[in-house]
Amino acid sequence: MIVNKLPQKALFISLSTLFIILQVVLLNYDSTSGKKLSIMMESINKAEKENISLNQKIASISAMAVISEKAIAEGLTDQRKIVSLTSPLPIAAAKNNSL
Amino acid sequence: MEKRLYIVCFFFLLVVGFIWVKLFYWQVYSFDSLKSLAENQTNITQTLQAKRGRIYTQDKSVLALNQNAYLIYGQPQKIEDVKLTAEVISENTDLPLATISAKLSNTKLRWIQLADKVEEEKINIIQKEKLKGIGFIESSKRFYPEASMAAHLLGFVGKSTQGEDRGYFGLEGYYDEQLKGRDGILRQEKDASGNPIIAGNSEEISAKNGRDLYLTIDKTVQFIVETKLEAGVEKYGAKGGNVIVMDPYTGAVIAMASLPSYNPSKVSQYEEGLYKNPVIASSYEPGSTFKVLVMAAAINENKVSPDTKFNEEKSVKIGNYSINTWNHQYHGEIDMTGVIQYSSNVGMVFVERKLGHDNLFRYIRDLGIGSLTEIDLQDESTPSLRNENNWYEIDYATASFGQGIALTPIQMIRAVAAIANGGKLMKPYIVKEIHSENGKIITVKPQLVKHIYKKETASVVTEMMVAAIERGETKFLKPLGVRIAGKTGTAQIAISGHYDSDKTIASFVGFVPADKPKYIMLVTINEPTSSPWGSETAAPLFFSITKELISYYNISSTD
Repeated sequence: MIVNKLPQKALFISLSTLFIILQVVLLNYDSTSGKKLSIMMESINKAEKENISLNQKIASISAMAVISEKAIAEGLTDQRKIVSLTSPLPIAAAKNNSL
Repeated sequence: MEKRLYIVCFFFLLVVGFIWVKLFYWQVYSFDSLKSLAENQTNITQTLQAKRGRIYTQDKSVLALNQNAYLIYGQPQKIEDVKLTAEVISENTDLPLATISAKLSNTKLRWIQLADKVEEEKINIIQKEKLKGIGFIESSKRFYPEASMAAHLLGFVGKSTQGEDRGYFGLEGYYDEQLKGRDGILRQEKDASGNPIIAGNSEEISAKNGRDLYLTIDKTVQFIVETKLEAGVEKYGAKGGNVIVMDPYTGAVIAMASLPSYNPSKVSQYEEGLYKNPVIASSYEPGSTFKVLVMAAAINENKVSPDTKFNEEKSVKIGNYSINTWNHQYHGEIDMTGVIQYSSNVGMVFVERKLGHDNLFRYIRDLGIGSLTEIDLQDESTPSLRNENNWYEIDYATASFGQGIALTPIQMIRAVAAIANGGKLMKPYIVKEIHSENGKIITVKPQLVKHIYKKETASVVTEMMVAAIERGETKFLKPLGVRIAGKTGTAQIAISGHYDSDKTIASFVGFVPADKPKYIMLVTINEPTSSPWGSETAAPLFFSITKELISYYNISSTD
């Protein structure tokens, strides 16, 4: 019986040792992932800030006052003239003598 | 020999016992406190700031968004050159040099806030100086690309008593809860270098960004209105003015402008009194523009018709008071269209007497005078409507031509819109859609408050208003070929229980085109000095804006 239990014990010890070694290897491998994650988060943050900054610039350039000034600088003038060929008569007022 | 062995054993047992006690103390008794201490050292808690929602116009142009900003802090114990540091910070933050100097000179402090919401460009300049003992914390600041355009509409973002960002006035105030979102929290285990430990503990509650608002405001119309209003106030030497443009069928506000105004990005540079939106919070006596509402009420109740005749020959005496026409001219026998055309005060007293006091009061109340319109802007207020028991004969008479009764511009335009749209009192609103981060859209639908007038009444009064424009004092101002319904108003200003003889509020209300109006507009000019009359100040401004809008909306004479 002692002879039969010996291979089982050896197997158990071997497997346990293997798992421990595996855990150590993986955790060790993972230990620098935090730094990589930090770098990625910084890049994302930087891109987001740049995005906000660009949106701000687009909004500023698209402002009505800016467009209006540029239009005037480019020589566009306001020469709107309303021309009407007919003067329509109101239907409801047709019966009203005062009109 | 044995005795010495026992003594040595005893001392060994003592030392071992001491170690066991200590181990027990650190590993069992102090377990919780030490664990907490360790967690505090390795676990970092970070607030994930929610982004405030944006505000867009009808055509998806942005009126309010966020920009990068920073909090500047100082560590007085690490500052090398206090004078230079203070000068650089003061120059780039507009804060007094003395204040910054005093803060940086206080070496008892380890950390002190110097300035908040400082823009990125300024931070870049400060960073170039490589100042020791100065640091920056990322933040966010509201940016209004159109500067002071639509300032009263937007409101601004300031600080609450807890030091958090909070919207005040206008849309920023009314929709603050929707716009601000909810900050999140990230609790993470970090190593000695501050890098996150992937396999460690991590808890996150994501930030929920604020919702975006899409308005009924048309940016181009808003710009036209603001430009013209500014020119008009200057031209007529006025203290200020308001213009509102609205869709009469839905109550959607297309443009809203008031002067004097302020820049919401630089709120602290303006007087607090300017923050209030006069369109929704300041009252005025409407004067003759109110006549169309009273006339509509009388026609609606079949008390008068357009053909009803009135003999306008002299003033009307009520008690100790005498009511005259505005220009002391009397036209003899006129019909109801003539009463509106000539803006006859005595004619309106006649109409009111036909309508009856009870009916007049009921229509005034039903038109929303004395009640909030519940427009979605913060800080709307209304003058109260006196209890009917406190109304006397003279009050009904003067109310018939818009004096002795006060309302806000938004109440006025909403009431006249009921004539423009066939008789419905609509709730005015500015936000038409609210967009969430997850794509969900809440649509705001137009709301009918009450049916006031019959369609036929609205048509008849519209024609009276068209006649008033085409045959009244403004006939040379209106553009040819487009039918415009409108009414001028000139109201004296009540000061200390009497009316000022010189100061007026000139106004004009009208809708274009008369038959199927694309918009209704109210113009009010406060205390114009070039002329007190609405026909010579507010009306020309109305038509000046209308000429632009006719072209913009492509309104033809057949509309």
